[in-house]
Amino acid sequence: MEEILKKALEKADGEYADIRFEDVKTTSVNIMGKEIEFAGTNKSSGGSVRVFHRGSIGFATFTRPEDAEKAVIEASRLAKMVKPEVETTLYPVSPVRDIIKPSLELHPKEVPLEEKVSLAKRYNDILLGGGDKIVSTSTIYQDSIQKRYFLSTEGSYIEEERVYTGISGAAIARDGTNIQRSRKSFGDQRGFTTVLNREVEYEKVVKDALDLLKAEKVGAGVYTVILDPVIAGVFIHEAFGHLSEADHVYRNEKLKQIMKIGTRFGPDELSVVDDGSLIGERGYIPYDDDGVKSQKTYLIKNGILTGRLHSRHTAPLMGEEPTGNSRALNHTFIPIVRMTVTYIEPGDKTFEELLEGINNGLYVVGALGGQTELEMFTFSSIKAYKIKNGKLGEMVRDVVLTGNVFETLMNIEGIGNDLRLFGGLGGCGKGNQYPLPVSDGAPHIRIKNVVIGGR
Amino acid sequence: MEKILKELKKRGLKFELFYHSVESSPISFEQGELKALEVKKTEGIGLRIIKDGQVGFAHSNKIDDPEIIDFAISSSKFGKEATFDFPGESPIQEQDVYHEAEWDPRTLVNLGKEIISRLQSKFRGMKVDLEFSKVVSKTRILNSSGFDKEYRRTGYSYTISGFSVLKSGFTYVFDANSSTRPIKDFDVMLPRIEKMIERADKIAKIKPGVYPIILGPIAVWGTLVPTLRTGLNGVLVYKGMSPLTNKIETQLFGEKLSIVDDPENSDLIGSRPFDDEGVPTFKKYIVEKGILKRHIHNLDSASKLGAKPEGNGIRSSFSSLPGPAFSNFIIEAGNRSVDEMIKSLKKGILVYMVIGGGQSNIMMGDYSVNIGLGYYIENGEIVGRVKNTMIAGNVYQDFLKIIDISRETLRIQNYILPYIVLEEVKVATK
Repeated sequence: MEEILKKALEKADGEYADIRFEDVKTTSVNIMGKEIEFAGTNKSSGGSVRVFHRGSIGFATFTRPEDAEKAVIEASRLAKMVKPEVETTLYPVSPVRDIIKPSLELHPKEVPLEEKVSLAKRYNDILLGGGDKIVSTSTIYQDSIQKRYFLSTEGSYIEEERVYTGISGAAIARDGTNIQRSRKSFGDQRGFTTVLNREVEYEKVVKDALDLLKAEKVGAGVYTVILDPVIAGVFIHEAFGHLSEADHVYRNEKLKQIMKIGTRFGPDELSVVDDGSLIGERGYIPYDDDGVKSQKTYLIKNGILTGRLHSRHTAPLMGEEPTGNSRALNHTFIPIVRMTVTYIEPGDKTFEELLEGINNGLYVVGALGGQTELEMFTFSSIKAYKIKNGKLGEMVRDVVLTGNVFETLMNIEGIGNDLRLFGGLGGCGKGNQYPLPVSDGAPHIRIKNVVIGGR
Repeated sequence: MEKILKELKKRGLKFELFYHSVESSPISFEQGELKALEVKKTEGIGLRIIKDGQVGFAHSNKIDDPEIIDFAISSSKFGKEATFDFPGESPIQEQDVYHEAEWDPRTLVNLGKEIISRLQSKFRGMKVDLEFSKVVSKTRILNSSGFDKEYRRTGYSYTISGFSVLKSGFTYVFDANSSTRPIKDFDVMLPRIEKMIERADKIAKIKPGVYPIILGPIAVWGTLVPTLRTGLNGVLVYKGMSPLTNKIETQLFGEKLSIVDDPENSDLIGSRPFDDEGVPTFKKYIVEKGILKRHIHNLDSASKLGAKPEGNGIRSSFSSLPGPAFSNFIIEAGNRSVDEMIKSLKKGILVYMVIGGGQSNIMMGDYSVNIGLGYYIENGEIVGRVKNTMIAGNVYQDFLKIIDISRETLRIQNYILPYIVLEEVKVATK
């Protein structure tokens, strides 16, 4: 493979060019209600060429390695076709030569399809076991075994095997027009063991869906809330993380002013990190798609904005350094600035300490969906519990949190010591590149003055 | 593919081989800057087999590798019960959907720059995303019942979105168009966008309550369309999840509303001679004068419900199984102009863009959306933009009372959508 792609790259006409090629084998089991919709394995492969010429990018895809040369010529032609308005250069890096293999306790390729089907069925049966009020379920198992190649005209060659495994299960309960749902997913790069022994978790999912039917709607208002690690992780990724992506920032004067390094964004205890080098996490990448090694980047350290996410393309535009965050969904897309494993660093509070002194609050658990528009965010949680006089009370439903991310970060008043990271099966969307595997996480976080609206 | 075909015949399997290739050349601007020039080519096959009465599926972009057969067979062990067979030869009407035309990136880059600078000079600081795209696709289906046909199709499109900060707050506008023929109507698109933004200059105060609403095409796309796409889906009907299960020949919507599935319109990018299962397509009413005429079926759902397959088994790519979908989703235009509609309202709201669709229970028809861009109408005139305002209700109730449907329509992907005036919609505001 290296020889044929290297030879193709020799035809590149531009200051810089690279080729990515991937060979992917995916096994999935998809169950909806009582029926298996699909169970099976598929293979696909393909590559793409990116050529830089004075700041212009030409991009062409190909399917078979022997067609790489044609794509190199095509991408070179496209890169030279239009003169860019601003001439840019890529941040210089030293070439890399590396071969990476994962060490998994149990590689999904060693598990027969039958076993994957029966595992998904077992979890789905638990979800269906909730009785008549459970009107539908959705259980998905998926593993993806990817062989990836990266070559550049600077002499880099990276060969990597990447293995994702994950399971997700959802239950939908209905009572008249009252419809409630709950779900949980588990996914990372640790192998098949990640999806095993989740029975208790799916029992909780079906119980939550049923309990939610009986739960009261939350009263709209302003609360002190404790976010669980799941929704706190989604919050930090969606509401804050995307604003740290340099491609959003460098062309937007207003955002540039807001996201000025050195600005205070939260209390001293708050530190936010993006770290693509965490082996085994779903968002782990040894190198990004520019061939830059992944690293731990502090976005906020002790409450102060200290960094942002860059590719080799965006870093020189802002006079900063690449951070290993240039990623493409697959070979058919041009890499753009993306997150990897994004989380809030743990503080020193126990959950009990976070609860202390809250007279009228909410403990918000799990994430259902959400939307952000610049600094405004709206997230809905799976469920929540009232907090009365420092103690957890009854379950409430239809909890939607909304607000301004900057105000909300400043309103953080307690950070737990119990950091957890989540990968799951889905991923992050940006432009039309969805779903890119990422992880996010946080410890329990206490925030004051959060606006809660009912659905 | 020949190698795979030979092997399939040798093994005596019931099969369907779906070949699809796509070549696209998008030219995209992000926040006003040219992003890249691209050429993307993909091709691949999806193989369905029926073995021991069960359906198996596999896909691959290695179109000469017979390994796909083994993957399909192992998938069939867990597959759905096959209640249908693949259709054989039948008379098929060709469709005029392939229109090769010159695609010169240089000209389009210049056009893009012109459009962007015109908008930016009118609306200072506006961030414009713009994409032009040309897609050439080829579809071929072969099956064990003797079907072997192919067609080629072109698709030309643009999408444009603009984000600006006005006195009245953040304003996001969107416009799009697609056709099998090259698109030239940019002098219609630009004034349409400009009018939307100019009208948004000041804020109008409104009180919560029940108002007549003019839903613009994009707002119809965000409310009525998702509900009908799921509600009419034959698979969801036979699973008992659709509220439209026993509703054929009943009055579902107001009499002015007719919805057509039209695979024969040679301008539309969803037109095709046969669907992705080899069933001939034809033009038909789905909703006629408000009455539900049929559900939308693929082979599987039609067989489960004892209905006739009508050419609506559609795949998003070679790697997906066919699901029930429209070729082209068309709401028939009415005869009133939008200006007349505005003039006819004493008090009302014109809703152009909605935010947050899809978070409520779409299947049952619920919608609850924020008005992203909308205008308050008083005594037949637009008096200003509404902010922090939501409309909420149920599609199956609110679209029973349709006052009017516009002459003007917008073509978005494979949809043609008009403006619809609803008599009563609940409006919540701060």
